[in-house]
Amino acid sequence: MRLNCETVAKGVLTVVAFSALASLLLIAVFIFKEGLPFMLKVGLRDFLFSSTWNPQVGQFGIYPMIVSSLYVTFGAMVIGAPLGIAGAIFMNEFLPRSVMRIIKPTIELLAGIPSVVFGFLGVMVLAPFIRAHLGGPGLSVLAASVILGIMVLPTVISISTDAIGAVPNSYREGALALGATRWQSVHMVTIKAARSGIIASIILAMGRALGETMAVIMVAGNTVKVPHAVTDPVRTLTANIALEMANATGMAREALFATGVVLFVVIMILNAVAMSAIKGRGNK
Amino acid sequence: MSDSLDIKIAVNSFRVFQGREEALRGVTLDIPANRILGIIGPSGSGKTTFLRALNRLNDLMPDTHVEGQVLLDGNDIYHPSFDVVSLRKRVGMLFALPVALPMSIYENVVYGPRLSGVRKRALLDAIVERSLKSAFLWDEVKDRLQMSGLRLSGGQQQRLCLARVLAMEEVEVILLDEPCSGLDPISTAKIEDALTVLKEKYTIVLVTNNTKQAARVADDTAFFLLGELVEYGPTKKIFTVPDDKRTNEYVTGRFG
Amino acid sequence: MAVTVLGAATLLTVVVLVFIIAFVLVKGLPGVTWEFLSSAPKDMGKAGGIFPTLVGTVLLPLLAIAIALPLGVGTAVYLTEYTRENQLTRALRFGTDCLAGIPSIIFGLFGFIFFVVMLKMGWCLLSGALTLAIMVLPTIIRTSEEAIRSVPNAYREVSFSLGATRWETVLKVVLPNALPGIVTGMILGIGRSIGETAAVIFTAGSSLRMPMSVFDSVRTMSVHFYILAREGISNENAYATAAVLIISVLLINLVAYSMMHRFIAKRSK
Repeated sequence: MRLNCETVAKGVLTVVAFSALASLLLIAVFIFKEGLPFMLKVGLRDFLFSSTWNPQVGQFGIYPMIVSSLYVTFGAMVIGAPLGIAGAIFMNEFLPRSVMRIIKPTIELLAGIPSVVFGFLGVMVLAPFIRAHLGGPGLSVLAASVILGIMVLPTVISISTDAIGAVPNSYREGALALGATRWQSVHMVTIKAARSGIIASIILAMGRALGETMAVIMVAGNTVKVPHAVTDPVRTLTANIALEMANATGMAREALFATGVVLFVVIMILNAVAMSAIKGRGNK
Repeated sequence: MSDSLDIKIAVNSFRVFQGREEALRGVTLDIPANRILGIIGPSGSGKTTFLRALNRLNDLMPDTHVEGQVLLDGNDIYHPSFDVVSLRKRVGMLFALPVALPMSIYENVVYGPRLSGVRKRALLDAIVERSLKSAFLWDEVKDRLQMSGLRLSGGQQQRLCLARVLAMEEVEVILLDEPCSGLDPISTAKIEDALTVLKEKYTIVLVTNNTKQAARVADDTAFFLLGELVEYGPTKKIFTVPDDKRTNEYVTGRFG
Repeated sequence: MAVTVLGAATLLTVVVLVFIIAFVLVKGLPGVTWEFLSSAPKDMGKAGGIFPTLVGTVLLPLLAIAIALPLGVGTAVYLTEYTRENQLTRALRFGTDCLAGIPSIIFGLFGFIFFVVMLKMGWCLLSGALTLAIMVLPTIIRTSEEAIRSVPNAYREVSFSLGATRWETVLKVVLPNALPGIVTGMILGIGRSIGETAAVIFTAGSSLRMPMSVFDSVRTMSVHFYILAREGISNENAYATAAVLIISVLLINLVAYSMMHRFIAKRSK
């Protein structure tokens, strides 16, 4: 009787263990099921490279959105990556343990703030500032980049910190023993050793920035246009999906799913690259 | 070995493989009932592997397989139809590090009986008292049975582990793997005294790194070296006039 | 000097964070009155309070966790206690990691097409909870696995040597011991769900009515906040809602972290 309990338990657990994998497959299947036929119907080239997005008359080019997403993500990394890496290095190498123990959780709290709050602050504080000092409507590539840059800071910092922390002390001591200053030992030895982890953090952060929706909708302006200046309003791929979904039917809805497919594939690739960089580090 | 003794466990040409390595080579030995068998030998000689084979705890290690027989009261415990769970109730074990489960003293002792389905509070209370008395721990803890077992001293925890094993109705054999290795001399003496009393009801197999302990406590002694059983017999003989030269060198302290 | 630059960068990060929280609290707390918290919204949120959204914000993550916890802990138990590292476990872990990396808008799309449309559940608490459950599943699995792995092997051996089966050992020794770590993961999962907007809008809808069953649509605080802000309905109420949101998230994280520290401290004794 107790052994029957044991066999049942094992069976149930085996099934349950597949829930994550099953969910992943389910998601992939449905997104592709809804989006792929559309891409085949309209043709990948027209979909990805045409500049006209006008669902009412059957135009589904998402080129402006792709460019906008790329600019915004790139902008976010320009702001977030250096700040994050600098922060990670400083915290790990130059800050005493006791101070670190307060600052680290504080930064992790940043990660917990809902994205809509970031977006709102972007609208109320950042956009007017940009409008006043740099022109344009304020809701722009720049605003989105800054907000996203701040939002990805925790990701960059925490993964880079792990990478830097994993560098064995013997490396640092070796450099110091050869007469290097603290800073020299850091940038010649530690950073190099943690390089793949730091790069992984940047790639993961890129994936997050690319996938962010709510904050971007609030501050980017949402005009369907290829941007020519950082003060231009833009609409990203994610914003496009969220904004149009409510009213989309038929082909339009399929187009949004097709956009989802593009996002899904790109972000999965970024994550896979980042993860293999992190795992590869273990072998060095 | 005297033939008039009951043989509790008979081991025939028993070998244990861990992966490709032969951890235990062809051991043949009889363990008589109601006596203490001491197992001595330097580290790495296979003593613990042998001990864990007797209650099939080796099954939990990956890539382990065995050849030969281990007969408990005549039945091969490695036979596919043998119930491992009931085996472990009949053959209990104490480990080198006293591991009290993270529960109260009371719950520690009744862990085994609860698994067997004993529910009545009165029965469980009786089991707790009986077992703790047999382990010579009752007087020290009877007023604080609800306290966490982890808060006892090392020596007390080890006796708690002993009580845990004794709590099981079905237990007939007690295996001990260097039970006193972390304990002070007084706690060690308490455990050794307990064993001397317990052998009247149970069969005891004691692995020890300390040859003097074997000399004090064991009725019979077996000497293992590098996975092989070199010699076994009455303790007195092993320690004074052993057959094998290696045994002699070990017990006289020439190596180990 | 390079170090000063680094230090300045770190300071900037911390200052930004503190500014964000302080700004929202300063502008929003004045609006957070008892009446605000306990009354229903009027005029699409221009006046009145946020009570139904509070209810939604409590029910939705709780339901999601109720679904995700058994699945997540079960997976963690399977991976640590019942298998050794092999192709299968690597595939399962890979699936979990991938799931963790999917952006919330994709979850929203999936939840919409699968639960709301295909399974005909419509926009409701259940659709939202199921979608959120899948989202927090990787977090639960990871934290549970860590907690279970940190249970010393000696306990398992003792349990087996007393004649317990593997399932009995898991139930009576391993899980009780890993509980604080598992609960921490659960709390972190709840914290994440509270801030989630994109996935929730597409699956739970945005009805301002009090939900009477799991098939009713609900609006969570973050969705309400988003709508208030975007439609420009009321900045004061938006700030006030944001203040409540931030305080909830901060409290939850605080609880989770202090639990985690106590757990780690007890372990290393």
